[in-house]
Amino acid sequence: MQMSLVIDANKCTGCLQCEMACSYEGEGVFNPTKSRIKIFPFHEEGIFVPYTCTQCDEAWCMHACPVEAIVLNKTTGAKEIVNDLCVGCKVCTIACPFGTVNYNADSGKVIKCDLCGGDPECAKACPTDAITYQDANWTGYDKMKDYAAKAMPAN
Amino acid sequence: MSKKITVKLFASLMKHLPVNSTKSHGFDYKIDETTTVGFLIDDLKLPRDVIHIVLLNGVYLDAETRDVKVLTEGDILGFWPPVAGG
Amino acid sequence: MSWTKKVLRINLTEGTCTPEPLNMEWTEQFLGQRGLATKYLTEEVPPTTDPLSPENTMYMITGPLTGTMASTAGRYSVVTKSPLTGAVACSNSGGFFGNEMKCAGWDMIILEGKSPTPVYISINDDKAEILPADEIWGKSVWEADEWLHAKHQDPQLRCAVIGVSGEKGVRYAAIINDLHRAAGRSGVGTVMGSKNVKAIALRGSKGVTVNDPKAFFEATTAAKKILAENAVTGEGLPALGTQVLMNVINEMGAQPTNNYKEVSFAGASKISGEAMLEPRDSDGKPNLTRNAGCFACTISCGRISTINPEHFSIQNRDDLHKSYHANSGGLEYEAAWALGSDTGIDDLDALTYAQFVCNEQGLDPISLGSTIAAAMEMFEEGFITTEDTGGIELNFGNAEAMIKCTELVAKGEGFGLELGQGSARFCAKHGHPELSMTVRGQEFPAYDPRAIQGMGLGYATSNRGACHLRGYTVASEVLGIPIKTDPLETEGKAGLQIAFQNATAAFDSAGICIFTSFAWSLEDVAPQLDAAIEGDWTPERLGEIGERIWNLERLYNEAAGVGASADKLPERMMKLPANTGPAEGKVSGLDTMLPEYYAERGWSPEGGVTAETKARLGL
Repeated sequence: MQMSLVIDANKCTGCLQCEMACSYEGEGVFNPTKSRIKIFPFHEEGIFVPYTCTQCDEAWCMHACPVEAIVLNKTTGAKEIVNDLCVGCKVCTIACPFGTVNYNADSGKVIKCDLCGGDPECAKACPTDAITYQDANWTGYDKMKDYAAKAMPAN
Repeated sequence: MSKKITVKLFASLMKHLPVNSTKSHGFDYKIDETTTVGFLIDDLKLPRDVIHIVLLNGVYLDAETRDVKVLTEGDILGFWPPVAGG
Repeated sequence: MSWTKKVLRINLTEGTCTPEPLNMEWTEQFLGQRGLATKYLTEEVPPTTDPLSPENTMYMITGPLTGTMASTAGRYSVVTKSPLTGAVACSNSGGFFGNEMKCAGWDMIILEGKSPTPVYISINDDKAEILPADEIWGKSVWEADEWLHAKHQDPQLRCAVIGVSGEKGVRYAAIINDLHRAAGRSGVGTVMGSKNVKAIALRGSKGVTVNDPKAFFEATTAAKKILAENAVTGEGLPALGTQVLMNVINEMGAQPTNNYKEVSFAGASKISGEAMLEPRDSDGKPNLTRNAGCFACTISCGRISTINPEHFSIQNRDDLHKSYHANSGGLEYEAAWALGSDTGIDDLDALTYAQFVCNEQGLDPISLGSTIAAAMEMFEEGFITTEDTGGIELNFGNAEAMIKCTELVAKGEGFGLELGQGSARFCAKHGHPELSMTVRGQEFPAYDPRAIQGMGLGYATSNRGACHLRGYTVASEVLGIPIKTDPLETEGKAGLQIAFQNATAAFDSAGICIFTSFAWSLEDVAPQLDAAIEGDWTPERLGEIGERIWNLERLYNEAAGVGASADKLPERMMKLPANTGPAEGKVSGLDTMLPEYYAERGWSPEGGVTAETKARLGL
């Protein structure tokens, strides 16, 4: 079964545990600036929104890469960077409409979410279940259930 | 003649308040000569495993005393789950 | 690892930024943060130094866990000599500033001397600069924060800023980071202002590593599970925040009301955490929008709130920052009691407004509220008049007057600057020092010492002046954490305070939030430290470090002239019995507890740190 990251901004408290888990998995260091997932605080609205790569099926980044350094992981569905091939040209960062592929100046390569090979650290680190890893075909399950509850006939 | 006391529920225990009493936290409760705090807890179906602080007229009642302490007219009884702040 | 082992020393007089190694020997004795910076202070700043002179030094310091994935590990402290108390000041803040400092490669930033002109400090990893702040001097914290983000074209910049009050010498000015987290007490913002420093703007991209990653993840994961499963840290604090205390403390008759004249407040439930959840008539929304976390915090007790759009405080106020009409950092218990019950005000939105002002303008709401409350009593007694207040009818319960005073203190002008000197100086100036509810010149927090006896001992002995965060025996005396003790009893309270004081000093030096201690003991902290940094860290060693830190602070205060002679409570606590509730008829039993406290501390009967105790602790 393919899985997807599911994000519920209403549950996010903005603690950045996910960013640290991500940067540690990717770079071996607690460093939010090296995280593939970012939390965006909207102070006046009073909400925190986690955002990361949605692993597009027809991924702009993958199609744009001139050296085929972005490849599909058939098990997880993730579009992964092959570091040995990436030349750091950044065309993928331009191609991605969502901004979720970014250049890492320290390595000279781009970085993006790779779902940690199928066991995403961000979801494990999130203390409030704002980020979960669920059946890719049923990412709407919880929302549907909430609305089903509202539509429940009175007994 | 029946006597009454005031029961107050706070924090997550507020969901056990009777309808329309949330603003004051409290409601009246009728007692007789033998009503204990423990009887009241069960009568109101308050969750014993969630109740942590019980104040009778502001004084803390420990877990053993709750079951035997008999209430008297005009008592004010407050219940809280475990809470802290600072 | 975890330490960067680097300190940034900024000499404002000379205009230099110089890296130097962190004294690792001192970390062995004093751990980090509160303990370590106090050691630097005692070595570098003579105890008799005028706190507002260039000779005072300010230390912004992280702990060993700051910047890691341990829960709540975003803390930093500001240590200096306090202009409010003349004692050692140490104010702790969360948000996202401490971790950013560590991420930039610095364990500590030292500000010494005084800049000839207003400046701010810009730090981007290794690059540190002293830059002109003329365009933000005179602006609020929020305005300066926006300016800095725009100026550096960096949305991820983290800023610690003072308001106008700090520039003007209000003695309880706070340093605000991330818009609404505060190093709040003892006037650390005043010291920053005295150095002509408006802000520190940080950006770090280096990251933080730990000594033994495998052990670290095991220890921190286990510790997070404890927080999640604990009813206080896992449910109570996220849902209701610190404000859950308002009703508890009031119902038990320990709620400071009308400048500590009374111990219960009729309007408490209207300004409580529960009240913040009730939908209001105007827009159907509650005061509380949601909870928010500081860096790495899996508790997330922070409040994000709105003011009722129909409330008088924000009507026809286009001059206000837009956040007053939207969400911002909401009401905490310490602000709610000081600005609320202590002033007799039961208007939740007026208190939320005043809290927003404290955040925007960099003020400690405890000292502010307490000082206003003391002034209200002076006004009602006729000791001050509208001539003194500039026309304000300063009666208890007058929300408009409280708001007016708050705005005046924020500007540091006229009557506001007078209130900004704190209640000890204000009451003394007007001939009634006995009406100031302070110890060492710092205003009381939210617990009446007549009804919670251990807290009276805590206020009297607290090294930074009256404070709840130095030995929070409320946990035991009221809330039953870790065990329930009788709040009206004095017996055993000396030992209880000492245990809390020592453990707290260790928590405060580790880089984590003291609220973890509702669920964690030093047994839970030690393995996290042991995995993060070099050396062997046991709960016993941490306990000893806590005791060493307490004695170090005490020695500094003794030399500064605010040692045992200042271990006193105001006359009201000692002579005026509580008038209602379980404590009715009681005064503080400080006279009984204090000699026991001195003896159990291993101090002389006069309260001096003895040569034996110094030797035992290696001081």
